[in-house]
Amino acid sequence: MSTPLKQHYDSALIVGSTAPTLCFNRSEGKLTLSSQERNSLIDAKLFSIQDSVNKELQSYLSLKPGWDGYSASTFDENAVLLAQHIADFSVLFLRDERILPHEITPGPVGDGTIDLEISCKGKNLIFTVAPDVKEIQVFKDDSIARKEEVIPFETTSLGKELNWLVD
Amino acid sequence: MKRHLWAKNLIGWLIRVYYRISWKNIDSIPDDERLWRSVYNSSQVKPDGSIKPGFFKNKDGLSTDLSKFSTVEKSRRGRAKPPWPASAGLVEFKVMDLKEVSAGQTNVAHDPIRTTQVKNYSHTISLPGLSTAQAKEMLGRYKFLVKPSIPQDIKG
Repeated sequence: MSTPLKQHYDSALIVGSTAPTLCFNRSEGKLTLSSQERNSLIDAKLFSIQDSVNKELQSYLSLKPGWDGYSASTFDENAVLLAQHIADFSVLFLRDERILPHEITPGPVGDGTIDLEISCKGKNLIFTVAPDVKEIQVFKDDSIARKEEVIPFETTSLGKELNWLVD
Repeated sequence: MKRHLWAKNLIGWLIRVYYRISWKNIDSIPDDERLWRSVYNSSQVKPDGSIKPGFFKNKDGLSTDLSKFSTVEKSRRGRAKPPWPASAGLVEFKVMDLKEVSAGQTNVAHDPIRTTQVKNYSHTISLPGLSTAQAKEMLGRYKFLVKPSIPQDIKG
């Protein structure tokens, strides 16, 4: 992938459906992609993110007690699976919306819960999952207000939160 | 003696040595005392080198070391038996930071650990644990004393 193409791709957060076909814009020194090309690149990037998120989440299962240098708990397989489900759902949601997030980052917590942080369009969303709990803690920050709430673990609720992120 | 415990002079240092040797419990920690927390595992750090919010969360209590009773190397590498992660980092913040982000709810208590596995007189525990919003606030208050090296190197 050439540098101008990569820069263009990296800056492409929202992809319109009426993008021009692939051509090189001499005045801007950038490659312009067709709608199909952009979608393919977004798909590839999102699936790459999904793969690395799932690998990191899986690695939490191998952490030993005290993995934080103190007395951190180990991670339950259910918590990891829950986090992976949310990550997968989020990636599919963003793919449907043709949006590339700034980040999707999992984060381990010393009490055995797992954070999944998603940033997009200047907004920040953190899901926190715990084992044996059918509810998810949600933190939302749009740089104007911060909010924390608890939502049920179901696609409708997850979709509502992700809609807020991309809106 | 308590009056001079935190003093930055020879008397303060001698009293702290006495406290440490006799494993005397400290009943109150001033708000401006500095706390150290090890960045022990690569999964606590984002690819850009910044700390993840989960680093400051733990509903069972956030562990830190009292800087006046520790050394950078001991706090950075942990107190457990070797091997220690050579590339671990160390983060510093103050007691008042935890209190301010939690609106005075979180209390920092001296909690010395003295087991066959771990001996850490400087250990403190902060309860109740911070929420995600409070942990995010902490991201603007900490500073690195030692930056963790390449994240992959400190994977536990």
